Amino acid sequence: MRKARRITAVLLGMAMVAGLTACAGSDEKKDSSAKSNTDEKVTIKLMEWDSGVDNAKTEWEVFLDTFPEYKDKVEIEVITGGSGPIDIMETMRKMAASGEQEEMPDIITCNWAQVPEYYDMGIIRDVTDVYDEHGDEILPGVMSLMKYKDQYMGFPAEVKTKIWAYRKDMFEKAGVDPNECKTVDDLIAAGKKVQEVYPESYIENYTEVAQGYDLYAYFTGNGARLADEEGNYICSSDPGVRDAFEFYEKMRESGVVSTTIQDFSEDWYAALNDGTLCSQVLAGWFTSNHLPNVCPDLAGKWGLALWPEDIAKGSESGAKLMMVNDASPNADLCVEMLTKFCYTEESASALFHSSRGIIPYLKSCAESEEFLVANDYYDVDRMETEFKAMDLLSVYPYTPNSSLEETIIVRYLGEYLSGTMDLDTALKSAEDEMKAQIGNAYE
Amino acid sequence: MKNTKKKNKSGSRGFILFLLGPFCVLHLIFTIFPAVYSFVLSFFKYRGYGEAKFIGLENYKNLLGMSSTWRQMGNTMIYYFSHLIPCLIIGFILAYAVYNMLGKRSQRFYKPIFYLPQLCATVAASMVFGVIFGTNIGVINQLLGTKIPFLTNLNYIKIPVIVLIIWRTMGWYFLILLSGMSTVSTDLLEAAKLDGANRIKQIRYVVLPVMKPIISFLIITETMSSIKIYTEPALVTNNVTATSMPIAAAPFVNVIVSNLDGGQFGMASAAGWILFGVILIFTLIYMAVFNEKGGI
Repeated sequence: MRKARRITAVLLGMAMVAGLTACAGSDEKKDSSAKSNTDEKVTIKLMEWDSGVDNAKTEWEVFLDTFPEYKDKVEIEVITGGSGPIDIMETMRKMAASGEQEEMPDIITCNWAQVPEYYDMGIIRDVTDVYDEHGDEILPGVMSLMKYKDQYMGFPAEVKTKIWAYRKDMFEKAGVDPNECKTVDDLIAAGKKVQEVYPESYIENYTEVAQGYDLYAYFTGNGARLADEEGNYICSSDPGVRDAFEFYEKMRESGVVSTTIQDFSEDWYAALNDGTLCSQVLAGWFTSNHLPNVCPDLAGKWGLALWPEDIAKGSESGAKLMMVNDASPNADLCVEMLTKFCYTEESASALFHSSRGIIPYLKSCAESEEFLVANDYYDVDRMETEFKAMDLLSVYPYTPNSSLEETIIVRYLGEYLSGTMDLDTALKSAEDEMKAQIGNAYE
Repeated sequence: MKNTKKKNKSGSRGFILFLLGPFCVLHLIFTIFPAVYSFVLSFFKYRGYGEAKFIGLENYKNLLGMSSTWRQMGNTMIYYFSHLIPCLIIGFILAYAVYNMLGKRSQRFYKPIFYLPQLCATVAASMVFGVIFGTNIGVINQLLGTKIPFLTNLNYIKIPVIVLIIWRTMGWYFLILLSGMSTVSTDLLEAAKLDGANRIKQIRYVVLPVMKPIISFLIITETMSSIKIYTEPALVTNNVTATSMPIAAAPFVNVIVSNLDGGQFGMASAAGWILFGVILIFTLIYMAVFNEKGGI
């Protein structure tokens, strides 16, 4: 019996030692492969969220084809950081907490809402030199989106303009020209005019399950602020926030927006295709490749216009940025490549003519005939509108606590729209919750 | 002789330690340490970088003072009770019917059939339910000839979530209760029959008391997992992140998730410990009820 126990113990011990050795061995193997890899090529790790991974891979392939001198030197590895920018932010927080800045990816993507927190973390390379050198060539609206406080934070992966996408065929039949809408009342009147011809059609969809991107796009146009410059929450007294809440209620009450179709639901996809949704007021983000993918049979039928003049200024959450990890051994190379990726005519041309058709960020491109062209899906007015919208770009004054602020304010917009709370109670509750959960917006 | 016994005892003790050692070390590193760390963190304001600021009970005070915390806890309780009660009753009826009225062969057929939803990925199931409950193209609305906005009106939004939870967990209840049925001695049932007990009386006085340990196991384990519900409401309400999950549908775990997403680690930890407290209270109540002499 004792002998059997001893044998079992020895066997278990051997198994554990073997296991540990195997683990150590695999690490060694990894190290050596990484080393041999660096001997040949530099691997640049770019962290993207799920839905952007394929686009990023394609775009960097286009870049390497355009600048073949990098092909032998660099390998771009696009890695996923989760389902959205908040997941990437969370990963970076944890890595920063454990002092692993060097292990972070070389290039990190984020939405503008996360920029202040990255700034506070102090892990992002200041690229002010790039903008000092190329500033004259870049569209001013794009330039303004790359700066936070005293630092240029990164490079645009996508500039989120305020664009209104509409069904040209339906609007024309109803005799509506979206470019003539100057106010919110004009917008509602346009919707009603379309409904005279298409009674079951709506110009937008706002449900009680409110969405942050809708609300913040409106905020950027009316100067709304949840917190003042000292970080004190003021949303119950800020006229812009109140105006934004009232805008959504007004639109819903007017009957020109659907109150039952939720973004990204099956109802939504069906409604975009069958004309139940004849326009999307907040469409800057999905004009490039989302709409052509979602409604492939409607090529040539969608047109783009600016928002009504009164609320045209702003953006939908600013931009998606690519930022360089300051501790990366490849930081200089990343800055050099990103500068070429975003701010050279060769790259702008190649990326514009690639599958997604990225809108260029250079002044010279905005004036060039090469870019003012129609494509398989849109008429020429698309590019004219996009460049005009870039002149109107501005960003909401996000804080390092924007993620939680958005969660809270959007929920109370839902409470207001559902009639559970009146406007004053909803705004007061949101403010109280921000004070309780966050305290000061900049701490 | 005495020495050999002592040697034997210490040898087997060493062997036991050798076997338990790896588990204890891993448990200490991956369970106990994070738990203690999060408890300490719940008294701090900490973003994951920079300095952690000690704020005492402030996180707990703020959380408990917010009405949305209580509403989200209320949602959790609605999700919990609205599936626990029907699943227990229907699961028991199904298990009883399959065990007593159908043969052993049919058990082989029904077990996987009822358990199948449990194997289905929550994400996939939630997406399908999103389609089933859609307003315009949803199966239910098309069958009823209605346009009920199950997923976009805050008055209805809990319904699809509850239906999904019942659909997913029913199989688990059925399986556990069916295995519990096998602990009921046929002799006891025969004796009850001879004494003139009808089916209801057999269930009331024989089956349920014998199955008490199984039912208590089922309720306690379900309580522990159900109070932590998050994925189903998040996905059915078409929100892959907590960013815009409405208060009317959000479960309590959403407080933890949204604070983690927002970099408020101290607040998230405090919410986690509040949830732990709630689960502990429920577990203790159930243990007291089931340990009571003659309980159910």
